[in-house]
Amino acid sequence: MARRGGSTPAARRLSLRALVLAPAAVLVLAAGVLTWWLLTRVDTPDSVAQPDTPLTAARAQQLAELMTSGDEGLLRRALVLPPEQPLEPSLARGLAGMQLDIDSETYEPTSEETATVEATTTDPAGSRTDWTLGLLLTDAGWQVVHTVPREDS
Amino acid sequence: MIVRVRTAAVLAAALLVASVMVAVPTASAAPSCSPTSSPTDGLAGDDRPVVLVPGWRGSPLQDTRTELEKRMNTGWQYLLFDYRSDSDEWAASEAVAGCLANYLYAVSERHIKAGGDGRVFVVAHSMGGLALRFAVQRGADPPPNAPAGTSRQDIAWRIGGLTTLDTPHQGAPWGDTAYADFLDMVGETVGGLGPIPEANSRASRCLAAHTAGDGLPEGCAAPPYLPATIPVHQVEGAATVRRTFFGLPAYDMIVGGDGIVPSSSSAGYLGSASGGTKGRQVSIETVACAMEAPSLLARAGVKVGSRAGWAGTVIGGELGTLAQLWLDGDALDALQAGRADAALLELLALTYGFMPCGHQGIATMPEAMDSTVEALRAQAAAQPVTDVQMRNLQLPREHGCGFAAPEGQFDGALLSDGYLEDPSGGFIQVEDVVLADLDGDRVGDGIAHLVCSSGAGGTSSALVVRTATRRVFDLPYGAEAQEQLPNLDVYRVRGLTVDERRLVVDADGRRPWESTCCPGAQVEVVYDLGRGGPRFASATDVTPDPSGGVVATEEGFGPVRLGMTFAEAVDAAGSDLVTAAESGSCAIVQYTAGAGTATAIVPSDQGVVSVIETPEGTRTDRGAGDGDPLDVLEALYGQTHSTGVIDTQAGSAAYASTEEGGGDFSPGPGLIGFPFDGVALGPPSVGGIPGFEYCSGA
Repeated sequence: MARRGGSTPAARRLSLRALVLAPAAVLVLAAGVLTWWLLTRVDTPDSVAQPDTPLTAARAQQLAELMTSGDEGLLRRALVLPPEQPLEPSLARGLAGMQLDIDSETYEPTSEETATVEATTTDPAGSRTDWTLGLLLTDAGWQVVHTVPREDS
Repeated sequence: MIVRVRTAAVLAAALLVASVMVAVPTASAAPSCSPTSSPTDGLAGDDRPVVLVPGWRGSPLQDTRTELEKRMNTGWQYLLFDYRSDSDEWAASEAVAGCLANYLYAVSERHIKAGGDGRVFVVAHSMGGLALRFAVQRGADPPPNAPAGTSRQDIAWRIGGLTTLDTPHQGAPWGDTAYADFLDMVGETVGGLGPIPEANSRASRCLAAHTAGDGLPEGCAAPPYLPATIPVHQVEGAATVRRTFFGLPAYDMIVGGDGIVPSSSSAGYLGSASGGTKGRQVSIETVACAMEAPSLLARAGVKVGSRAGWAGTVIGGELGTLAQLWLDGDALDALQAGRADAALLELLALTYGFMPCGHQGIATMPEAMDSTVEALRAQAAAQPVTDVQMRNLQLPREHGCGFAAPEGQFDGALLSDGYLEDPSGGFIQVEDVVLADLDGDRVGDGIAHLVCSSGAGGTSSALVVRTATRRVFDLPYGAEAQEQLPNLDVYRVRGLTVDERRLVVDADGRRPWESTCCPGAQVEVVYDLGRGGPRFASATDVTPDPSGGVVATEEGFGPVRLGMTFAEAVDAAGSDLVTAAESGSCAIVQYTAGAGTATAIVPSDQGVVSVIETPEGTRTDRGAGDGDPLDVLEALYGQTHSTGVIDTQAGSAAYASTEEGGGDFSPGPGLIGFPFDGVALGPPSVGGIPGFEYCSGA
């Protein structure tokens, strides 16, 4: 009996399996790529929008001087504070006794209006502490939101 | 704007993680009681059981148990109630309150079977406290083998006390608001914030801020007060976020709560339900904690970092919203006013999750655990009952005053300064309070004598006992007395006396023919005292006999007998003689006997004593006499005498005669007459009929 042309049963099973698996593989690959892309979008600094005004060395120097001036009025110009918020009197006095260096080279934006920067304080006894400063871009320029001691300091 | 940007980022990130990395299907559980609560079969009678009830979406409080066991282990046994699968339900739901009530009942019953007193103590975190309030109101389902129609079991007396750890007694500002969504997502994002009700769940909607239920959305039952006998200790977290720069304090920001439940709510049991507050034993302990904002952020960062690989991004991530908060005076105003604000909520979420006295931390915070242990000890210690407590008593649902507390409304029967108005127009008033050890535990209990008026005239009495272990129950002296004295309605207390062995209730008894105004009987109802409380011993009719035991016979009364001559009667009266004189056609001898003065009549045509009229209160030797109904006469004389009622010039009279039909009622032996007013007999006349004229010209 002459055989009619066409694939063998084994070949047909193979092509059926390929028909099912190929799209699934494509979907898995696409999901993986999408997941990788989404995750890296969140984690990678490149995905963070850049502020219009980066922190300059001059503003970093100015912030350090305002904060160590010993004058509460000047200190307020460096900090993000609620209006009329009374401050502990010891804050301005305590900061005045420190040497503060803000390293503008470590400036790192975290959003269009926020950034972090590294700083170092040296107290009157000569003890040094490293900090990460949270910054907010306001109408008055960059101001300090909070100061978190660096774990490696 | 900054807040919105950050919120969007946070939400997007949370959704991303949820959809890509942690796609865990939500388990749907049937609304049946979880079988994973602690088994009760190991309970020891000498141990006091403590049931730990978690809050919304909370796992069983294993860590809390560990902390409590460290502090107080011997003599206490901690059991975990588990309702995880239904904890997005409102606390009033069957799956929460119903299951809790049944579990507490089971624990209590097991404790009793093991030789304990059945009192169960509850320590509840967050919504668990509300669940207990609803559970007590609901009661436990009847046992499976109970007859159909058996009502639910009251579990109120089984609850020795409640300690709440940041329970939102008056709701929370974010409940039933759009912020619930936001907070939910922040919780997911910041990581490990743990049990927060799903937005739009009933639990979330019903946690709206309220005062005594006012302000709750439709379909959300207001948590009821517990009966006043259950002491409530509230532990409230009070967080302060300290803002610092380079480690130097700038100012404190008082969060006003634990980050999610404001202090006014976690310490707001009183005022959280309608009804009076007098007599309730409520205490509050504030456990405070302060944390510097950078540390708070760092802690959050570490936690999130360890969970999702976001180390370092949280500080930046939170920066925007916190900066907005620091800048925004309105946010601070919102904080002070207890209002919700998006930036504020983010800070609160951090407080909630990462501060020691935050909503999560308080369940294991050392100060909170110390306070809980102290409260448990105080609740377990039997304290002598005070007069004030008795006059501000939560009456049991059924009590002798006749009207029951409405189902589920405990305040329907809460005395206030010894008084309670009955909704139907009557009142209950505390007549007297006696403080004594009624249950043999050497700690003073109380018994209140209540005067009850239905508002329709007349009063009755009830006796309600409150033990030092806070059990409150009615003492059914009337019903118990009637078991022994079926012809008496014992209905009014005259006084109580207690010694070490027994409680004696002096009560008024009313015979069927007596009006409520003028009870004729006095009854002594005696209870033996000892372990378990007063036990009925006896009821005795102690109505004083005014005759002093002197009774009228068919032959005479006292020393004077029918058939005596005038002189013999005078001699017989002796020192009891009052008067002896002739009066018309008779001679009269009056003498003291029984309860008063008797009159012996000597008609001149007979020459001997033929009739003796006895004083009030006199009875015959067979027991018939003053105050008895007519059928008593028939009952006592009907077998041997003819009895009946005849009309006389002075009104009706009843008689018992040895002659058929009374014969011709000639005076002399064999005839006894009684005045009869249609209701009751008067004192007997020996040998004659009252109202008949035996002497002419008298």
